[in-house]
Formats: sequence, C-alpha cells, structure tokens
Amino acid sequence: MPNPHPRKSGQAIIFLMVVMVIGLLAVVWNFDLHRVISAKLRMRNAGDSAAMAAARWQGHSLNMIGDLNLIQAAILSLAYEEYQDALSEWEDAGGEASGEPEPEFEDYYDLAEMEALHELRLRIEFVGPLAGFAVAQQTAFNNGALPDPRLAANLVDFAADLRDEVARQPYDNAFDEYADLLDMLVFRGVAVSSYSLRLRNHPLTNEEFYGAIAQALADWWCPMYAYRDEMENYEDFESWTKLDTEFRYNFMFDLQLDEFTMTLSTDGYDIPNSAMLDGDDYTEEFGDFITSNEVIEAFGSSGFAFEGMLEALDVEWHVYNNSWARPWPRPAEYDDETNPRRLKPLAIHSRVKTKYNYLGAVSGISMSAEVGRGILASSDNETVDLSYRAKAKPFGFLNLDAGQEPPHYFGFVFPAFEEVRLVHFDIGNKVLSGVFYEHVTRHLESYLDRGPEATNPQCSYCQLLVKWEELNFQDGLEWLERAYNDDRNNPCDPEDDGYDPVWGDAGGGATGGS
Amino acid sequence: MALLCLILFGILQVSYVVAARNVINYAAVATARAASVGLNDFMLYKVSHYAAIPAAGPIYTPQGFTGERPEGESAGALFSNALSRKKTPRSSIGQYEVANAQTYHLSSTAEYNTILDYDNWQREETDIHFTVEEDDKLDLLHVTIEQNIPLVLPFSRAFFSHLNTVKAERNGEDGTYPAKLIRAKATIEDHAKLYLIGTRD
Repeated sequence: MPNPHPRKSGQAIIFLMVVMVIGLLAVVWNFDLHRVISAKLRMRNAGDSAAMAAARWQGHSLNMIGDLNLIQAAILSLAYEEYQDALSEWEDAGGEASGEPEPEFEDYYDLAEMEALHELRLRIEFVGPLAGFAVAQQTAFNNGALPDPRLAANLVDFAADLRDEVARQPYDNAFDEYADLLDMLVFRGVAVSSYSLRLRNHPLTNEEFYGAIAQALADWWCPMYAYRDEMENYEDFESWTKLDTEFRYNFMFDLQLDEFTMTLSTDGYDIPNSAMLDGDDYTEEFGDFITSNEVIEAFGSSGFAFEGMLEALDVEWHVYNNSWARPWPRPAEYDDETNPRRLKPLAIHSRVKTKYNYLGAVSGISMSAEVGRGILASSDNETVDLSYRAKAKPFGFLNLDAGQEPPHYFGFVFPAFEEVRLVHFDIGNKVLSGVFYEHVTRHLESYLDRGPEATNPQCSYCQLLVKWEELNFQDGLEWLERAYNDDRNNPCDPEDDGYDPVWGDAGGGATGGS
Repeated sequence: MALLCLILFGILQVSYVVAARNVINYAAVATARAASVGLNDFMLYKVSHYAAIPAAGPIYTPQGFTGERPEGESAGALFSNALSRKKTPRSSIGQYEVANAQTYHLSSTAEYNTILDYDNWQREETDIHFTVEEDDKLDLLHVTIEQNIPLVLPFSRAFFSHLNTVKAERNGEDGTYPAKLIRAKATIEDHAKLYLIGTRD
C-alpha cells in the first residue's frame, strides 16, 4: 500500500551537497587565482633584479674599458715626456745640423702594446654584456624565475646564426666564442631574454597593428585609421608588401660604443661625435681633466697626457657612440604650452637631471613563462602565459672642476659608472617580448608565403592575423568615415572635456607600467 | 532550502571579495613599480586601473556607434584574461583587453576611457583610488590602492549591508549595493629619485 506522506528530507541533503561542491570549487578557484598572481609577482621581482644585475655589469664593463683608455693615455703621457726630452736634446745638439734624425713620437711607444690594449677593450665590450646576460639568468633564478625552454631554443638558433655570420668581427673568432658562451648558458638553463631586432617599418612588424585588429574585432575602428591604405587595398595575404625576413640582431645589452682614431683636419683635431663640447672649450676642459686624472698621475707622469692622446694618430680609443648624445624624451608636463606635440613626450613627473640626461647603455629584459591554470584546469596543457619586461641603466657622471657632467662630455670612455637604477621600459632601444619576437622571426615568413592557413595556432599574433582576414573592411572604412566626418563628436579624436583637470596635459607617452 | 540558497550565494560573494583583494594587492604592486620609475599621476591612474580590471565589473566601453557592447563574457567572469596575455582568450572582450594594454597605456587624457572603461569606474565611490607617499630618508615610495567593491550577487545585503553601501552602475542602470572597501599597500625603492629633478609633489 503506497505511503500517502513520502519523506522529503533527503532532497535537502542533495542540495546541501551541491552547495558544498560549489563552495569547494570557489575555494579552489581562489587558490588557483592566488597562485597565478603570486607567479606574476615573482616574475616582476625576478625581472627587475635581472635587469639591475645586467645593468650593473654594463657599468662594470664601461668602467673597465674606461680604465684601459686611461692606462693607454698614461702610457702615452710617459712616452710623450720621453719624446719631449729627446726632442730637446736633439734641438740642443743643433737639430737638423746635428745630422741626427728628428725624434718621432710614434717611436716612443709600442704600437703592439696599444693594439693589445685595444683588443682587450674590444673583448670587454663584446663579452662583458654577455657576462651580464649570464648574471641576469642567475639573478632571475635566485628570485624564483622559471626556466624558459622557448627562449633556450631561440638562443640556440641565434648562436647558429652567429656562427654563419660573415660580417666583420670585432676580433678573431669573436662570433664563435660568443655562440659557444650562449650554448653554455642554454645548457645551464635560461629565463631572461633580451630580444632586440632591427625592424623595418611595416604593419606586420608593429605590435600596435595587432592591437588595432583586436579593437576592430570589438567594432572599435579608431586605431585602424592609421592602416586605411591597407584596408582599402587588401585582397588577400599576397597584398602585403614583401618583408625582408633577414632580421639583424642587436647584441644583448650593447654598450653603444665606437672605435675612434685621432685625426688631423684643417680645423685641428677631430673629436668624438658624442662629445658635448667643441673647439677651444673642448681643448681647454679636456686638457685640464686628463692631466689632473688620478689614474694617470699614479703612472708617474700626467703632464703630457693630453698631448700624447692628440698626437698618437695611429692609436685606437673607445668612445661613446651617438646614442649617448640622445637625451631622454621630454616629460609630459602639466599645463606646459611650450611642449611641441610633434615630439612624443614621456609621461614622467619631471625632467631628467642634466648629468644623467643621456640614453646610451640600457639593459632591457623580457621574460615569459607558462603557469598551469591550477587545480581547475581541464588539462595539463591549459596554461596562463605570463610575461614581463623591464629596463635598468648604469648611471654615472664626470667630476670636473666646474661641476658634474655626463660621462660622454668629452666623448672618450672613462670610468664613471657607480649607480644602477630601474628606468621606464620606453627608455632606449626597443626590446621585444618573446612571443612577438618568435612571431616576427618565425611565423611571418610562412604567413606571407602561404597565407593564414600556415600560421601557428599557438601564436596570439597569428590568430589576430587570421581574424584580420575575416574583418569587413568596407564596414570599417564606413565607420571611420562617419567618425571623421563628425567634427564635433569624433570618437577617434575626442576633445578633452575638462573632466580631468588635475592631470592637465599629462600625455600618454608610455607603453606600460614598467 | 532558502537557507541553503543564502549559504550558496554567501560563499560565492565571499569568494568574489577574496579574489578582488588579490587583484587589488597586485594593482598596488604594479602601481608602486610604475611610480618607482617616475611615471606621472595620470600614468599611475591607468596602471592601477588596468591591473585591477578583474575587479572592475562589466565592461562599459568600447560601445561603438550603436551603443551596444561587444559580445562575450564580462571581464569579471574571466579574471585570468586580464591577469595575463593568454594565447587564446576565451571571449572577444578578453582578447580586446589583452591586445589593448599598450594602446590604453599610451592613450591621452581625452582617449583612455574610450578604449577601456568599466562599470565600477563610472562613479567616484566605486572607482579605484591611489596615493603615493615619499619617504625621503629611505628613498622609498609607499603606494596605497583602495576600492569600494560593490557586491551585486543576490542576497549580498544579508551579509554585507552593515559595511557600507554605494551607488553603482550595472549594465547601464544605477543601483544601491552593499560594498566592501579593499585597501592594499606596497612599498618600493624610489629609483627615479636618482635621475629625475624634483619630487612627485
């Protein structure tokens, strides 16, 4: 006989269990989120410390090169003193009438010794930053960085390219030795990269183009205004202008130096291009500086250092290249009506001190790692891709009688670098993220040859190129036309409505927080 | 049954607050790092906001000419999209947020909120606020970030209404919700002090 009052209390237990499972999932979800954020924070610390360590080595390398320049000047100073004595004796003996040949300055120093010093400087210039690259790896690992196998593969490729490189080498076997050191680093594990390529101006090698595609996908076409021509003329992947895919690498943490030989011209002596002075000012101040230098004085004779440097016309020196003479970007200043908008300002809060207002050597790093999504991941392959970029820079100045001046004040490299600080990522040469580097060097060629079907499905930039093919360009062009025909309410060029008076003309001018 | 529903939404709401705390902590670190290299207050505003997108509620712009939001899941629903560059963001919004990090940071005062804007940033009381204090003796910067997170899940009043309430926008409509004030602090060395003239003030 059926029970007219069936028991219902069991249903609540089922619901309670559902609630408990959802509660547990919420806890695990938070745990996973915390894990990802912790990994991001660790990567920030590791990246910053690696950039600082590399910059410290840049400073050490520059100081060592500067010391060798000073030692060379000291040797030439001693030689010039001997030469002067010999010249006096020759003149006292009657000069030409004595029948003895007139003493020549180059006979009083050993050119081979000068060349040995020069090669030593070249080796420091080339390998010193690579040592910084190695130190950056160790520093990053000490701060919790994870090894990056894709970076290791890229470095092996780079080493192989270097071995095939036919360009002039700074010294014999330089590229082979560099490649061997890179291979050794890869063997020990790497986490920090410093991808830097000399890219030509082409939409496909410009990260902003990919951002514009993403915005167009969300029906926001403003950034595509810069690519109107491409939208109007694009038919398929063969419409792209062909790209030179033989990319030139920049070496890691390049010190931005040149080799220099003193030459005589009709105006006098040629001085390094990066020097901040010219003419009599240069001669006077440089003479005072070099003859009163402690290192040169320690060698026993400093009085002739200036003459020795000027007149040793077959001796090479290390000088700063023109990048040292480039100042930092102007700060976007509040209510600064004099700021010319043609020059993109950097959104920093004030100007750079004169003694530090140079670019030159900057150590830029980028890191990337894949972190498992955690307990709630549906498979082991489900990862969160973390990336971080940072830059640091060696800072120094020359102490002169008149005050403190930038290191490149005289153009010659002298030991000056005592400090290292983090700088914003937009300072100095561009460093690419690993993902974009791989996209440009590996994926673009096959895309340009065979179209979107040949792109890498794991590459986010490739995916955006696939989406680019799917965009309705006609709609986009009409959208832009409507926007730019509306003078009063153009969403792509909005007028400041005064909502943010606190910031004034604070500018945009910085690609990110680091 | 009603009690169990209450508990269920309570768990979800607390979980959301804990996650938001994590995100605001991260935003404080990101903002402190930006301040340490001398970025101006406008940049700090953008950095603090971009880093805290997961706690920003549904996306508000871009809306295009039609005023319609792009299709896809809301930012709050997919924290990890905004936390990192994913290879395959699950939604068009996620892809948009990640791909436009640079454009957003480069934008001017007139442009930034046409690129990314969210419901919680529409009102002063639910927006993110930051302060930077300089410690001249130790060359340190102390950065504090705070945000009133509106709690919009059903039954949230039962748990949080005693804290405080805020007016917030949700999907274009104003409402009054209980809110949890989340505050995070980060301290970092002031690197820019060596090479920039003057101070942040």
